Amino acid sequence: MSSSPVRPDLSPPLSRLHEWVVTVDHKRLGVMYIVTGLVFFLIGGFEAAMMRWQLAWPGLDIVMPEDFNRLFTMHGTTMVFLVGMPILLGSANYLVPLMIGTRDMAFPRLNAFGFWLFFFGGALLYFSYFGAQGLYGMGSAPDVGWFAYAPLTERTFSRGHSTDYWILGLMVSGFGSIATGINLVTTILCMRCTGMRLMKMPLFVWIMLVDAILIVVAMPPLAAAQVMLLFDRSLGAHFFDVQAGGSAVLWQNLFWFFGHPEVYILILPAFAFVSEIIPVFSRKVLFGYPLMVAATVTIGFISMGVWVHHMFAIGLSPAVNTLFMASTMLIGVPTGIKMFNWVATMFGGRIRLHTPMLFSIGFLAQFLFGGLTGVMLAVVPFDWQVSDSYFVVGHFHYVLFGGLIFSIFAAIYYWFPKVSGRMLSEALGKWQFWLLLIGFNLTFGPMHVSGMLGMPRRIYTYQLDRGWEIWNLLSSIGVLFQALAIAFFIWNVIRSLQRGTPAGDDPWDAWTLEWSTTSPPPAWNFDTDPEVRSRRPLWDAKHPDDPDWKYE
Amino acid sequence: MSALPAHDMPPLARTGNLPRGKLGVLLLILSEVFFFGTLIAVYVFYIGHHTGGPTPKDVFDAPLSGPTWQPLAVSFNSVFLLVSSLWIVLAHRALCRGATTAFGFWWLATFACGSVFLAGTANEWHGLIMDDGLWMGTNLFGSCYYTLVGFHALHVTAGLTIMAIVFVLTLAGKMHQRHAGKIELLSWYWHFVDAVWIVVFTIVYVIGWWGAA
Amino acid sequence: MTTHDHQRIELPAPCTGPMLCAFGITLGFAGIVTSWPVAVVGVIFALAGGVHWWRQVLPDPVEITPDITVHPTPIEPRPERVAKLTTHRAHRARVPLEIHPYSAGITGGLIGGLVMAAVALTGSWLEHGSIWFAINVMAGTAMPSIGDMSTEGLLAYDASAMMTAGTMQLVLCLFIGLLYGVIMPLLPRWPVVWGTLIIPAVWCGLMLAAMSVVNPALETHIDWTWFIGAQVAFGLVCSVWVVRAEKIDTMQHWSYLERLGMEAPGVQPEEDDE
Repeated sequence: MSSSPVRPDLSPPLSRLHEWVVTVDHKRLGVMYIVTGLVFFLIGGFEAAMMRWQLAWPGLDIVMPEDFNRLFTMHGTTMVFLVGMPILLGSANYLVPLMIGTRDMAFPRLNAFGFWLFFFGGALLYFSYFGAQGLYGMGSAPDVGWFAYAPLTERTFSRGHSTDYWILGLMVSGFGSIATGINLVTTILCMRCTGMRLMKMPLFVWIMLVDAILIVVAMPPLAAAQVMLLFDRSLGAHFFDVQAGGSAVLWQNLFWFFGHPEVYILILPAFAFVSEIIPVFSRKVLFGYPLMVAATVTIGFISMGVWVHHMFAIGLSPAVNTLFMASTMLIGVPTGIKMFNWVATMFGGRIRLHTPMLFSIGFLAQFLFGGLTGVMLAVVPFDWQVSDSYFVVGHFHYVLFGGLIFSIFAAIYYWFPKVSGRMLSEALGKWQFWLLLIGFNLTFGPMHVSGMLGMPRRIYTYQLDRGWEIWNLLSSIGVLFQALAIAFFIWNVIRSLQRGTPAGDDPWDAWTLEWSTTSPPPAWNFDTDPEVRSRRPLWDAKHPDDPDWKYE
Repeated sequence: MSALPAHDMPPLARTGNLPRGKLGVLLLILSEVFFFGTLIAVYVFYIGHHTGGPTPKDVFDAPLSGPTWQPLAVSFNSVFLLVSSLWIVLAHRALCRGATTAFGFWWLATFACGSVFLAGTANEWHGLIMDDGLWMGTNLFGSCYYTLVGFHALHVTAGLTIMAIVFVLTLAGKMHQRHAGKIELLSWYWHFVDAVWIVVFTIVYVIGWWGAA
Repeated sequence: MTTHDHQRIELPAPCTGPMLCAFGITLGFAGIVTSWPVAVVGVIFALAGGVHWWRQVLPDPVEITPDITVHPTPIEPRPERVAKLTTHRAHRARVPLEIHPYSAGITGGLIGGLVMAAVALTGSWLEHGSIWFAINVMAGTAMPSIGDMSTEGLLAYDASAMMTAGTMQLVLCLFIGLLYGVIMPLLPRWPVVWGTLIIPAVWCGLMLAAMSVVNPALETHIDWTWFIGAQVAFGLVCSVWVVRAEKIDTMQHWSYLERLGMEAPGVQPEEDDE
């Protein structure tokens, strides 16, 4: 590509690396985000596998207790901040400008800045494994859990610097997320091509708009809370120091005021992916577009007002608990609308069961399951019963793994041909899907049972006679299937990059603007500025006898 | 994508032309609102929660370096910040007209007033630390006070730094009429810093002083 | 797409500034947990990156013009016609379109209930030598006192137990028969198999799991073979009876005039395919 800054003084591999490091192209940054996210996904997955190995049977000694604490802290932190966030920001980065028919993001250099802040922030967090002085005086990762409850994080209980690494790494990558969030909102509102009014945008773009707004308003409170914690730890302030009048519950409020919108920040992109994939593979227009937009905006608003449901068990007043129980159940309504609309899109369609569609259907089923256990947990008395148990672990893995990760794989299989110019292998993809489906349900299904039987989360081992053995063993066996599935995925990507079938511009016969340009798209995206009259511009071009704008 | 007969197609809808710079700065301000909102909420939540002195009444009522009541001194100080918001508007208008000299003058006025405010804060902190022995770790009030006022001062400092750069560019003759849009964005940021101060002042020196008897 | 040469495409030039600045900021924060020289180096990096960045954007952004070398394939109109959803009789209908009369369910339930009772009483007589045993045990669902009875007591006639069990049998069979009448038209392929085997199997499974809560007396005394046999007998009789009844149309796709019973030319839609 002629736009690349070729440095003749560097050797070819170095020159290519240099191109990527200095790039401000939204597509390259998107790919960098996603690849970094997938690398962290492997690391976080390895941490999870170590924990499952340790818990496979009572009384094992695979890892030390203090290492186990680090494993679950780093696993949670990694998966939320270093896997979910970059993959969602990366896919928005890559696809939003293409879908709205523009050449780049509103602030291309800020975009690069956001990515590198995320990248170095993640690196800083992982540097703690080598650099931080932990509780036991040696190199140590954070070990206070991903939501880092006070007062465990106070200097008295968390010696050394491991918690500081958690604060600083996440704060730096959080600044990057805010920058990219601002960039996305501005891009979507200011850079749309001719004819693309807000209600003509692909639903993907709508959802990413709401998502980016949530990022802009939810990350700063976390940064503020982390600053206070940092001052507590390094300047001797008393924000979360109970003995000096501070409040540990305040940290919980502040963290979850960020944390629950964050959950929706993570799951909304999953909605965005399947909202594009299901119509294309059902050969039908998305059912109830205006209602889907309304549901997305509603979810955005309500998600700011449900955070206390993470704190039902800490003894707040019944009035507060009831209020947040109601708001939590309320959020099930727009989410249910979406479920029904996806199913209604499939209903009566000519469904093509390619890998992206398989993963999307897997998403629908598993997200529904996770959503329903979520409604169960919203009921305060039930939550008291299973709070901090493996039931909760099973619930949110069904939402974030069965929901988000499955939809991410759907998205990768769907857009990989656009990004790389080559198709991923369908056969290997189906192997991956079925192995992951079996492995996932085998691992996280039994957790609901072990949780009901009273197994608390975050314990390092357990006694033999609790009746938890078989459920834990099943969970751990599931990991083998999942690992095999991920191996299939990696092999598929490597193989397809080298000798996959060339994709052509529009391999899926899809309808949004990104499929009207070459695969991979050129640096300038479109030769001419696109003009749009309906939500499916490529449909209009392919079927001039029956265009969509007649109906919208 | 132009296979359709032209007479058949509806006219293209207008997408509007929202300026991206303005929207970007508004979003930055929105995220700052949530940042300061958190700090302010924490401050309000912790009013009267401190164990051990010095209390807000102790430090604000006691004369520091003179017979002044502290909130009054800070109000005097705040006037400079509020007035600077006016000067920056005048500066922007001057640049819109292309009057670069007038722009330079009002810009310097803005910068000077902002600096006086910052110096006032520094003086206040000096008094609190040296005379009253109040610092971050002294008590919960100290933690909240220095964090909230400190982050505001940090934003003032950031604004002043950018202003200084712009002033140097003006002296070098590099500021022109076409930069008026960017100056307007800067002025929005400055107004925001101003508005935050009004809230912080009310919370810290009025409600905080009066509520924590 | 031949108009691409009319447009001058400008793209933002690559820039090292953002990366350097981000690296510097990270190092600056890392200084808090390592040592101050790290922070100093970080600040220097951040300033250098920031200055580089600003000089690219101010006063005017540096842009590059790419050579357009590749073009997408133009999108051709598709020859095939668009398939439309065609509306037919079953479109957006509430299934089932035809139902059995409810009376068939009620009578089927009553007859099935008689056969079921006969099977259960036969079983009771063969196993325990007394038909009252089954009746007493069934009444135990509603009468906790039955649970305390001795085996001899269970074998003897008890008027209140007889009344209770009889009423229960009548009411339950009436309602379950009605339920059969309603759901039979919804069951796919072989409704009688569903009614005879699958529904009793689900019901018996549920009872097996819940019996210790619902009726502890029944649980200790129940003879599962005869219990299942009685359920299957009910299912067989009731479902056969219901299926034998003639189906009636739900009229939901009829026009208003048709439902009024008007018979005139043009009221009934013309049948194309028959």
